[in-house]
Amino acid sequence: MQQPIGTKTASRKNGVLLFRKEAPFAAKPSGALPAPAPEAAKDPAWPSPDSGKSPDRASGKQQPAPRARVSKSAAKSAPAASEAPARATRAASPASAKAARTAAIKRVYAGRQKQTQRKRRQRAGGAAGARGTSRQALGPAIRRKLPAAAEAPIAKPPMAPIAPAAAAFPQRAPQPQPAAAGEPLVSVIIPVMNERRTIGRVIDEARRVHPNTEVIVVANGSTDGSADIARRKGVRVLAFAEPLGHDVGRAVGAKAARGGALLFIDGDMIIAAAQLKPFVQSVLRGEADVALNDYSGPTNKAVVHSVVLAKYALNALLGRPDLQGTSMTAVPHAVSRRALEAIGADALAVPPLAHAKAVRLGFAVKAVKHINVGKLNLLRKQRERTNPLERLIVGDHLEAIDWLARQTDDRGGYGDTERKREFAR
Amino acid sequence: MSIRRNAASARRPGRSGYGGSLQFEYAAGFADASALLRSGPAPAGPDAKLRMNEHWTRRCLRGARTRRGEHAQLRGRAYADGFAAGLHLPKGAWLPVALTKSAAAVVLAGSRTRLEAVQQLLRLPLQEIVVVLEDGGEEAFTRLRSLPEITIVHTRERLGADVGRTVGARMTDAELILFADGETPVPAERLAGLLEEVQAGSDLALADVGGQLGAFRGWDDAARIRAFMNWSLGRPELHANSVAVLPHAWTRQGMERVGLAQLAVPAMAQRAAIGLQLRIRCLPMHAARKGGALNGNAGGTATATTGARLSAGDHIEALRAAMRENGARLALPDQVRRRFAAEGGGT
Repeated sequence: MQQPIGTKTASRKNGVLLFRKEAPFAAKPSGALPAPAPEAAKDPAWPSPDSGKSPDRASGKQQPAPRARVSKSAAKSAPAASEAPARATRAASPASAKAARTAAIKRVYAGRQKQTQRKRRQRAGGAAGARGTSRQALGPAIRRKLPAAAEAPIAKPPMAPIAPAAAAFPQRAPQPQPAAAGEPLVSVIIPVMNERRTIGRVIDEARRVHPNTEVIVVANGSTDGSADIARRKGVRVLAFAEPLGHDVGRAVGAKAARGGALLFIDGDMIIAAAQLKPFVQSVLRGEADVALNDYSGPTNKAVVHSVVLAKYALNALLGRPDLQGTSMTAVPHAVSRRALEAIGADALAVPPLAHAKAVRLGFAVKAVKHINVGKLNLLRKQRERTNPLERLIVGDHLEAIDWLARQTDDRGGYGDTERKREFAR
Repeated sequence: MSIRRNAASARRPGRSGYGGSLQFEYAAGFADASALLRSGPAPAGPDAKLRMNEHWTRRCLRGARTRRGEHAQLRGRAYADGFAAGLHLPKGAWLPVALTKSAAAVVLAGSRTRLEAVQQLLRLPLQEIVVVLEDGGEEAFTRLRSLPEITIVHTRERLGADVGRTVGARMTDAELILFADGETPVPAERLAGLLEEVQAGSDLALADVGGQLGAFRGWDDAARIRAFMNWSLGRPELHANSVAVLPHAWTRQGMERVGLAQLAVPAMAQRAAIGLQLRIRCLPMHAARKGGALNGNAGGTATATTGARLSAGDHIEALRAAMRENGARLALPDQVRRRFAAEGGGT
């Protein structure tokens, strides 16, 4: 059940081009296609969008990728071929030489056309607008990374059967973490929401972090086919029809992860595997339970961003001013299984809370390597201007302080016995 | 060129030592004092200072000139000198502040108290100066006793950080209360600014420490925590300024709404002041670097680390107090997360 790439807006010319390139695949018996299994079959433990809420999703299809991708991605990724004819039929009508081939495919996929048209009508009003600019701006980047995307299905690793994240790792940091038989050593968790432009390359880099790595993509509220790109890469995809909210994907991914070291990265930020390795390595070697990005944000000014302020303040309140502005709020960071089990996977949904728990429960929390995510994050910053996350994140820090106080006393464990309050009454 | 023009147009400094428009102020002060002498017996000691300030205040109100700012202070000094000369008292001591309300100062002192800190306060038109001397020892006590016109509260044991603030505040019934540190002298001109601010209608006037802190990377932890609390409570423009920092000034009304007992835990007082929506103003103490450093921790008696720990505890306590009223996230709710998904609920 794959995506008709470019069904929405592809021009006639594009349609023809698309059809011509798809033809060799389409001409084969459909069974020969490496058509991906429906998601539910792949990962029954997780709800699939097929159980969908919106009419859009009832068909089990992702939204089509925009035109910019069509020319190359459709040509090279086999599953995309399945949906192409819907477009191709119309496109082929003037080019009578191709009519015969068109008709053959038309028979096979006739049923799909109706659905596609319905979807097209539904989408007519929306989309495109907000993302249009950045898509164009990133056009070259997309094209550059496509060959890699196309090769991926070939290099696809066999999918390991899903086991519950159990006590597969009796060894605990700070000992090095060996892999149990058949279990991955490293889990890379990538929450994704409409990050089609980058997700493919992010997955490629994530795979290279360690030879024994599982990559878990938590696609939530993605309507741009991000999940499909991930699935085509052969990684585990936990798909949710609706957005789970900021950072909840991390918690969901962590629950499903089986590795001894969990690396958290973002789907919209391409960081080279070489840069990611130190985080994983320091956890695997037992040097740290929580390996943080040594990035504190811009602080060479009198008034800093509220999130930077909150991170510094939380670390100071936790008695770890040496951590400066580093935090589990920022990616990339790696967490050992031992730490994960103690702080609880659900706490990862509120990263400052997880951070406070990790520090307070005595785990080795260290800033391992500096990656300037502020620089890599420019595009997202722009998005935040309309949908500010700062209030959410500062609120998270307050929640962490609340937890801290509830663990100890109203003063967070900082007594003031020296203060003779009776004189002040 | 300019010198010649000044010499031609403005009055040269005469015996008063003041030239230009300040000479008028001096003369006015002298005339007011002479009139006072003619009408009755000469006031003495602190009374003379307060009478002078009364006349200065009246003059300011009548004249409707700028009553605040640096030039106003210069004119005030000229007037005060003239007034002192009229009463045959030594010049150069007083700094008048146009106040229609009574003012007092509470000085938090320890064994390392410096007399200059109190001497600067003596220049101001304060009804009363209460020095809370905690565990100061005989030597510090004797030194302070040498100063006239002050009330000393001497305790043998330490009251602990900032409890002296409450104790001192209870000792006075003035309408404006200035809290100052006994170990860090701050020039009277800057303290006068705080008094002017609360006189002008603010409930709480804070010293703006922004200039001293500089870039964020150089801030101390206590300052970061203070700034974070202000931000969380919805007053980001206060930056790292807080009642935890001395000096600052309260109105009695504001102080009583917050509760005198709260003053013992500065962060609690700060939270209450923000929560009660008191009018808080920060006074840019741009010249503060020239004088003594403003003191960030309680009474200046605690060492840096214990001060930081105390400050951290105070702010957690204050945030917790706010959380009890408004929930753990205060006014920053989380409306986007589907946390049940993280807890295993799925979609």
